[in-house]
Amino acid sequence: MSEKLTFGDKLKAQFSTKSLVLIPIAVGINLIGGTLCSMLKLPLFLDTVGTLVVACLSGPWVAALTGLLTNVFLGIVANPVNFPYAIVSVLVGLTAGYLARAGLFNKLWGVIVVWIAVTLVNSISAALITSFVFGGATGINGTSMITAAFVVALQDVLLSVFSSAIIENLIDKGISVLIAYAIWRKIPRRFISQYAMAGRDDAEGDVEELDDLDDSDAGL
Amino acid sequence: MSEAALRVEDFSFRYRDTKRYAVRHLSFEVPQGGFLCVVGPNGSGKSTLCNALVGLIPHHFTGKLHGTVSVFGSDVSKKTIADLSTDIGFVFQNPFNQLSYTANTVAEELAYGLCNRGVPRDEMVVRVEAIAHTLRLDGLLERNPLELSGGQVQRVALGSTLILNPKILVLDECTTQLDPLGSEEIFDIVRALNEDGMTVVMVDHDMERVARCADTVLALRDGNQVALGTPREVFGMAGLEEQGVDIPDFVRVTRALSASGLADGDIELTEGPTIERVREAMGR
Amino acid sequence: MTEQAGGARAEWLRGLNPTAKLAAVLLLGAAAMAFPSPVLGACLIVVLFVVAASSGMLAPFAKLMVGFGIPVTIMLLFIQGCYSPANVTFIADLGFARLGLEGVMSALQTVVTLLVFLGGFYLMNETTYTGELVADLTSRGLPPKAGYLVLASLNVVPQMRRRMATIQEAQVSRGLDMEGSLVSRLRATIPLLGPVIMSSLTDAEERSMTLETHGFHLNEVRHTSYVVVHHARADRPIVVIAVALFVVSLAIRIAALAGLIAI
Repeated sequence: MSEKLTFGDKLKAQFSTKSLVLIPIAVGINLIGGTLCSMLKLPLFLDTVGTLVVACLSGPWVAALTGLLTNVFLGIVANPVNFPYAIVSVLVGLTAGYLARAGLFNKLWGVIVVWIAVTLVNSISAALITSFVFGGATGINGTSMITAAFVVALQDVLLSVFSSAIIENLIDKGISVLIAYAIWRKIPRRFISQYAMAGRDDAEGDVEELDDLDDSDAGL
Repeated sequence: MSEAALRVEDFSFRYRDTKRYAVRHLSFEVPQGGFLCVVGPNGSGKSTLCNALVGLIPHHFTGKLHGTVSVFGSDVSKKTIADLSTDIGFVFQNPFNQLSYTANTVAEELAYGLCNRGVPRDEMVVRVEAIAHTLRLDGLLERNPLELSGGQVQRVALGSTLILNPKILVLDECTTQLDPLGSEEIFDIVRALNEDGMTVVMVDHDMERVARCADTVLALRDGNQVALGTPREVFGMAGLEEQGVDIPDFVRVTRALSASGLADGDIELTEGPTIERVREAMGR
Repeated sequence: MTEQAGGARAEWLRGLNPTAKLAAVLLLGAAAMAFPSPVLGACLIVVLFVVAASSGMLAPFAKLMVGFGIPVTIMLLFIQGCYSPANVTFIADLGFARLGLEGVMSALQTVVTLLVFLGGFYLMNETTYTGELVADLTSRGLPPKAGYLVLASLNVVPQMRRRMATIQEAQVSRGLDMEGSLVSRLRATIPLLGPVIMSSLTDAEERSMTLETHGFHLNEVRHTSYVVVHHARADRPIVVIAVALFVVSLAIRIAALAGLIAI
């Protein structure tokens, strides 16, 4: 691994103009997923697909910023309830970004690990916010009805919120991770190499630099 | 005025992560006020050349580079893209990808490059109005650029480039996605700019238009320079079509006439003289 | 965020400085949150209703506040009122559970805080052009890149929505079921996302070229803006009042926590 780079350098490399342009597009993808679900009355969010794709392309911090902006946008335009959940989106972006950097998006079992990790991170952090910031619910919807049912049964608000969050997230993040994985597989290699995460395996990057042998016959 | 606007010397480039060179050993010059058209089949390296002229290569696209590209005598690789944009403007194919996405009105979009350079608003307003007039956008200044037609957006893109007063304009198939009317409007503007002294480099698939506008034609194939000269020289070359380079229909017609002994002499590039030749041939 | 107005009477809100409006909304929301009782939040909600009415936006404003407020109140009163671990004083017996005063108060506190934010942002969005807000913040030192992210996110979404609508129409005309059962809706939806996402991603490359040729990353000089930023005489008093309210609320909360005053 490139040990000489400081954390700051790495961060700067992640935020190239190319990555920066990707962020609004990824925010758009997140919001489109959400809109689509509410339009078709699907009991899902699908609002992390963009974050996950960016996690693969540009790394954890760009993905975190994508998540943050998605929630800020939703908070201002739709409902301020979304603001505190920005922390959840940031954590999901970081988790997915670091796992993608470890190469987990390149293997099927790795994708399953990403799915479980993202589901857990999302459920735990979201449950903490729902419980401690909002006191258990943010409106009447499928999730809060399940939560209410759990509360009656379990007599514990935090545990109930967490239980309903994990049920919902297992399905939602499962589909989101699958979509993101399918897209990641389909993106042309040349496009990927434009982004900071191109050297997912740094060794691969070094080989590319040496691969200049066809130089001489190129001129022919 | 002796210095060339653009000079390309033995330029080759291979994009990172690709095996083949996109362009190889290109060498040519464009004088100030010149009109160079670049022709060739898809994948012949036309866009790569444009990217190199405006400095996107090597500053945006990384890879292996040989030779030099200079704009008004200074090496492109030693300047920044932003510095270059006041010398050389760039318009490419997809109009909607040339919007900044920070503007809600055409006026704001046109002013974008000035905002980034800290130009005071009073000056911006004057320059926006002037450029809007040149590009026939006067009535659209308060409209949302995302709601305009492709042709209108492309004129906005051209305007947001021209507002920085470049002396060279590089157009990479900038009318391919437009309807015929939208394309013609853009060309009228470009031709007028060229008459006022703007140096133009244009990639285009419409060979009749190339023959009409260009004073020099550069033909590329597989990244190699296969022909360079006046339209008459280049399109008169034998075997150009076999190389995959398209030629104007008028050249085909007049060449066929000569080949079958129905006309004498040279090829014709434009409509008028071709009709004249056909009329002559019919008289025989 | 939108230009369409609540009539000419919204003018005075429109004429305020956008940063002042944003600061006021954030500070008032924070004040409602900090004050150790729902009373302040409730008062602020009344103030927001008055502002909405004075700007000719009462009907949509009331619809939004009630539409969000009622369900969330019911839900939180149920969960917190009956099951909050903080409950010690019981005020009613519902049969299956007892309603606790502490839970009820904290539920109400959450609801009024949310409503202050919701109403504040609504009034701000309806009377502020985001381009103006970003221009103003940039002139006050916000990095242009941050401004870009906000504006581009805002502009990209409607464009993507249009693109998706186009694809959706094509899908429906090809006979894909957008109405049927959950599974069939899912099957119709997921393949829809793919093309929209892929085409958007490939756009990113050209868009970053555009930004670079237009001098997006130039930072020797502070970026200027074409947008005219409004300033009004009322800006300063509004922000000063909001700051004062927040500071006082926070002080009361701290005093209450320290046991200096009883609430």
